[in-house]
Parts: sequence; structure tokens; C-alpha cells
Amino acid sequence: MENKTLLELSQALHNKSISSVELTQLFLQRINKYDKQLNSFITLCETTAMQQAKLADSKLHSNQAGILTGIPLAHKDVFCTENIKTSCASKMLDNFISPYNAHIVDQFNHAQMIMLGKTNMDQFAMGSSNENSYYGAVQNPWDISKVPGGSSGGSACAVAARLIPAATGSDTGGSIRQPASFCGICGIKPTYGRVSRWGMVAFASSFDQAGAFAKSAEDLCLLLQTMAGHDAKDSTSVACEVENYQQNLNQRLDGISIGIPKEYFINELDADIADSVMQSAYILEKQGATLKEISLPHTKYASACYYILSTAECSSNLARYDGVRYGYRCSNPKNIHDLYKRSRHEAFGDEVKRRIMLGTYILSAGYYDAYYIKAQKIRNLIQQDFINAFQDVSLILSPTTPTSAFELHTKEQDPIAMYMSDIFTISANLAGIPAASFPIGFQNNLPIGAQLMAPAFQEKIILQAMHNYQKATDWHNKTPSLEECSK
Amino acid sequence: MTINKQEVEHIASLAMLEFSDADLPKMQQDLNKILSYVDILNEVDITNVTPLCHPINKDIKKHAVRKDIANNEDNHELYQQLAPMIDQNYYLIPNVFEDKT
Repeated sequence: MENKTLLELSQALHNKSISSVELTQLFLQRINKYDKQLNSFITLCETTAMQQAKLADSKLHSNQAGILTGIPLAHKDVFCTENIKTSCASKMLDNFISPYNAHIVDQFNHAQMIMLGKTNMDQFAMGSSNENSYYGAVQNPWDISKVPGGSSGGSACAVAARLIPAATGSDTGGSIRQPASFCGICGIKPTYGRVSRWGMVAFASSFDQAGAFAKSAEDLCLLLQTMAGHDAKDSTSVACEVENYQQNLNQRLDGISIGIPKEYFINELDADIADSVMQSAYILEKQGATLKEISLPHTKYASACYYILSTAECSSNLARYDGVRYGYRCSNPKNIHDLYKRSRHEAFGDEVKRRIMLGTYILSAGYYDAYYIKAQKIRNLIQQDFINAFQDVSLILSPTTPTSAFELHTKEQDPIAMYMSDIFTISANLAGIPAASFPIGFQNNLPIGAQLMAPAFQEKIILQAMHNYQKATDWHNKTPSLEECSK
Repeated sequence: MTINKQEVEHIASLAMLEFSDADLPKMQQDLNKILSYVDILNEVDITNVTPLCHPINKDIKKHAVRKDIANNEDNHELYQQLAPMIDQNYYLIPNVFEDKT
């Protein structure tokens, strides 16, 4: 049952071969069995989940149910959930019970999905390994000595281990796509502005985007259809029409051209991954697509550009954590500065402090033009690279990550080594375009993924290509054995 | 560009963070490593290039966003329940000014 797609679960619920209560209990049992080892959840909401499941069953029995009614879901702990702890995996918000729901939480509640809990992550979404959590590292379900990726490592791990059939995530520099690739599942970062950021704790406001994890393109369609759309509460939410993502799903790829950017096939890219990406390109070609080598000339500057702009934005966004209005407050502050400094220093993790420091320096007098303005201009050039490329091609295919999942506790002390994990995902956040990762094989028994990118608001074509690939292959159906996880 | 110990202390005070003498060298080292990493951007010719603040293209009408104006919703009673120390709508904080008596 845990391997069924969202559509199959929906059919089982609607034809009453299983109830939402039974389905919810099944996933809660799996979480209780495996998650002590994996550590993918921060908060489990068993009581409210069972209440939601009972309500969902009554809707199913009275024919008032939608397609996702009664199906369990988890939210990354970056999304505010009313009356439920929302920690961003940080000591700073360990005591924070959100007074309201994020917009996407409301959207999934409206779709009558069952919220099982809040998943683990890198603190304040800063990280690529889920080792930066106040609640401990998450493990990769394929090999517990490896990282699941980050920052949405908990959501990716939970879906890969079939502890939950779907989960939300957030992606600022690759935080959905990289863990999706490391964990062998599908993950999508929509166009900037496609999904509301209301109630999603801010890291870098011109990069952050909410998205989702699932086992297949078909499943991602259903989740994105629920999340996408204008929200007046978010001033960066774009009011353009939401397409029917399932409409062209089964159509072949004739007339669709796929660009393969030469700048992504660098020495740092593992040879096996490069081969697998090319094999996936040939499979898409057999489905009717045409392949073309393209150039994205400013690719090598993307990472540096990102780490200047995102840290500048984060230093501003995290200024709100001051021990005054909510969150952690240090004990016995001597004066106002002591309150601010000790509250922040005692509660933020090392990576968060590193990024705040860098961002503060970048925005400080004398350095603003040298770093921040320069990086904004280069961001324009990177976005222009994509606009130019999409004059010739409809999609871009690339590796998602340069390597498969790395060992736990090997890169924590070396920020640059960690940042290298995101070099292929970052450009999509700089340009604001949609991008998704999907599994394309294994290397030494660890999953590897490929990335599809499209022009702004063209998520539909990404999902169509991914689904065509998944009709011809079986990687997305592979599951980890979890032998080491139930000890 | 490299930064010295005094600059790291200055940035920390701007950022309202407080590093011990033991932790300061590692932060200085990390910042210098990252600044060295981002030096690559000096290779790029940015003559006549406009800065991009965020990726939404305002020239495309259907990609418009609303004006960034705050509404006047008042939820202070609900939100103040989260505060560590309050008293009749005031958030309590320690001294801002030094006691000169």
C-alpha cells in the first residue's frame, strides 16, 4: 500500500478498499518503525491526523470527496502550521507554536489531505545535507551512512522511505531538487511567484519557492495543481492562470526540443552521472523530443552570485529574531544589546551564523557595490542566458548534482565543499524558472537524478517530459530496503 | 579581499552576534574562504548591465504582482501570546540606556 501512487491511493479510498483512518495508521506505523533511525520528522501530529482522517472518511462516504481527500502528507517544518510547533529545525523557534497556517497548508487542508507531521530540515533552510538541524541529522534511507541532501532532507527521506506518499519542501538554491536526487524521488521547484510564500519562513525572499516531493510526475501534477495559484497575501505572488498540469501528460514529446548545456558537463561532474544523464536524454529523444547542445555561458558564476545575494537577503530576514516578540530569549539579559546578541548567538546554528555574517559584510558600507550590486548585475546576465536559450529550446536537461549522496559528517566544517553540491541547481533560482529532479539510475547503490528546467510558468512541459521518461523506465519505482532502519 | 579580526568583530556587532575568542578565528577563516570563492565574479564584464532585484519580469503584463503595501490587520492580542515577556500590550525588554546614577 505504501508503494501506491497518489492516484492509486485515491482510487482505493474512493472505492472503499481502504479507509483514510486505516491508511493514516499504516503510515504512522511505518514512521514509528523506521524514523527513530532516519530522523526525518521533527513533529508528529497523530491526534489531529486521526481526527482529519475520520472527517475525510465521512466525506468519502457522502460523495463530498476530492481526488486527494484522505491521503496523508507531511510539511517541511519551514511552513507555519496553526497551533502546531513550527521550528525551522532551529533552537531559535523550538518554542514557537504558529498562530496561523501558511497558505499552502490551507490549500492542502482544503484538499482534505491528512497532515501527519512536520519534517526535519537544515536550520532556516540553510544547508545541503540536513546535518544543520537542531534536532539532529537525517539519514539517507538508501544508505544510512550518507546524507539525504538538504535543506528539505526530512521530506525527501520520508517520501523515499515510503513513510509518507507526498511531502512539501522549499527550494532557495536547490533544497528540493538536490535531496530528491540523493533520495531517488521526484521533486519540483515551481517558477518564482507560482506558489504563495505566505507563512513560509523566509530565508532569501527573491529566491525562496515552495514545492513538493512525490514518487512520480503524475503525483507531482496533483500536488502542484493544489499549490499553484495567486495569493493576495503574498506580494510576490503572480496572478497568472494556473494550467491543467495533467492535460498533456501522456502526449509524446514530438515538437519539443531539449537543450543540453555544455557548461554543466565539467570535471567535477561524476562520469557515471554524466553518462546516465545522456542516456536519459536518448530515452526522451525516443519519445519524440529533439536534442540540441546549448550554452549557458555564465553558469560558472552562479554559485558565487547566489552566495552573495542569498546571504545578503538572509541577514536581513533573520534580523527579526531578537528575543523580544517570539522565539528564543536568553536568560537574564543585562541590557538590550546583551538580549539581542546572546539570544541570537545561543539559538542560531553555525551555518546560519556564517551566512548572516557574510550577508552583513556584503551589505555593509564600502562593500555594497563591490559585492551586492555586482552580483545583482550578474544575476541579470544569468537570467538572460536562459531567456536566450529558450528562444531555441523548450526544455533544458542537466544533471541535478555533481555526485551522488556524500558521507555524513564529512563536509560540515568546509562550507565551500558543501556549496559545491548545489552548482547545477542554483541557476534556476537565480533566473526564477521552474525546475525539477527525477531519478535516472544508481551509482554504487545510491540514486542519481537529472534536472529539467523550463521557461517561467511552463511547469506543464517539465511534467510531460518527466512522465514520458517514467513510462519508458522504472527508476522511480525502486524502493530502499530499510533493513538497517528498523533496529 | 580578506578581512581581519577587527572587521569580523565589527560585522558581528552589526549582525547582533557574539563570538568568543575561541570561535572568532574559525569564523574569520570561513569568511575569507568564501570571499575568496566569490572573487570569481570579478571576471565578468558588467558594463551597462542593470541589477536584477528579483526574477519576476514586470514587463510581462500577466506576470504582474500587486503593490507591496501592508494592510492594517491587527492581530496583536493573538501574536502577543507568543511573546517571552509582555505586560498590557507592551513587550518587556531590559535597559536600552545605561543607568548613569
